[in-house]
Amino acid sequence: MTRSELLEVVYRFYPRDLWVDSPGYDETPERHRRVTAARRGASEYPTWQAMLGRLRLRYWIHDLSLHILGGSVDCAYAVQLGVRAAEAEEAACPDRPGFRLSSGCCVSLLGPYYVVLPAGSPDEAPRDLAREIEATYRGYQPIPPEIGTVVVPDVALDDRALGRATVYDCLLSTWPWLPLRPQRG
Amino acid sequence: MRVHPLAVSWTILTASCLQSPTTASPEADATMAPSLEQSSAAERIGEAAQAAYEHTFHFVVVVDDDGNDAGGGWQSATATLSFVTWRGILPYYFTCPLEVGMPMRSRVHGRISPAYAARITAEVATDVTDSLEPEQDWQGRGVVFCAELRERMKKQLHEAPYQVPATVKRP
Repeated sequence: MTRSELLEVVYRFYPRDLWVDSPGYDETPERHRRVTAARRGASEYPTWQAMLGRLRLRYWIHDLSLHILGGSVDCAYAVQLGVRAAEAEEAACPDRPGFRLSSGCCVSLLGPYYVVLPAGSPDEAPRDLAREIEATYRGYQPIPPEIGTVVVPDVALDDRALGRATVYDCLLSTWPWLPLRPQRG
Repeated sequence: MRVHPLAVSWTILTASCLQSPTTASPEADATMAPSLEQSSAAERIGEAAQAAYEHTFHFVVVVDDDGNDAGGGWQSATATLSFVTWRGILPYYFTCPLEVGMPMRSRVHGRISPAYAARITAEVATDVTDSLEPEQDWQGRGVVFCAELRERMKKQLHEAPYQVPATVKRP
């Protein structure tokens, strides 16, 4: 996986030098490809759901991909993974599960890529999650931060101005709970 | 140079809302979870601002909450916010179409009713517009404003006091 390979994928799905609110954006072939990929993500949702079913046996989960089923155009599935919090914490909040966010991931709908966070954590959850993704989605690879955080200067997203979107943003997520990009200065 | 929403106070001038086929029942609004009603987010702002925007974002159920997991279900609202800036006597009008989505239940809040979703979205839209407005000259730069608006709304909804895993996209 190289930077230029990933940029090629980005440019296949995002028109260059065009804002998403500019006239004609929806008619670009890149946008059409992205809509098609999101529709495919909806039709192949059972595969994602089955993976979550296996993870559910070991973790609390919160699937954040349901909007794709509703027709929203997004670039990746996403899930938050939690573990049971300490008993004392749970006792203080008896009406809600003692959920402590321990990991999360995005699996791209635009190519065979994923990211699991927090990377390099001593916890078992991120490694477990990566194993489950690679068993479910054969050939998928994690995008390393040194490539993922590269800015794609001529691509705009719904919520990223030109000059601000990274490879991670374009192919995986702009979820704020996934710290995939340097904080804004 | 100032950006003005084309009606009610700052943000929103006009709002055209689209509804997906499945609509939340009135009962769902009426049974707002007490934990949300008492949240600091709801208490933080005045009632006048809440009232203005609750009519702008009409959240409808996209996927029902099955009651499992740490959070579930999905609801969304689509609206087009309209703005105007003035250079001398010449107005510059632009619009920002938004699709805001969030779960119907989250690990932090428990149940999120469509009414609460509408209220916090309205609060955030107002806050972000107010913060963006003095930063730059937006004349002729509506597309930039819209991208910034969506990014900051999404970020703010994720942060305290809201802490809702929301999406803010172009429909």
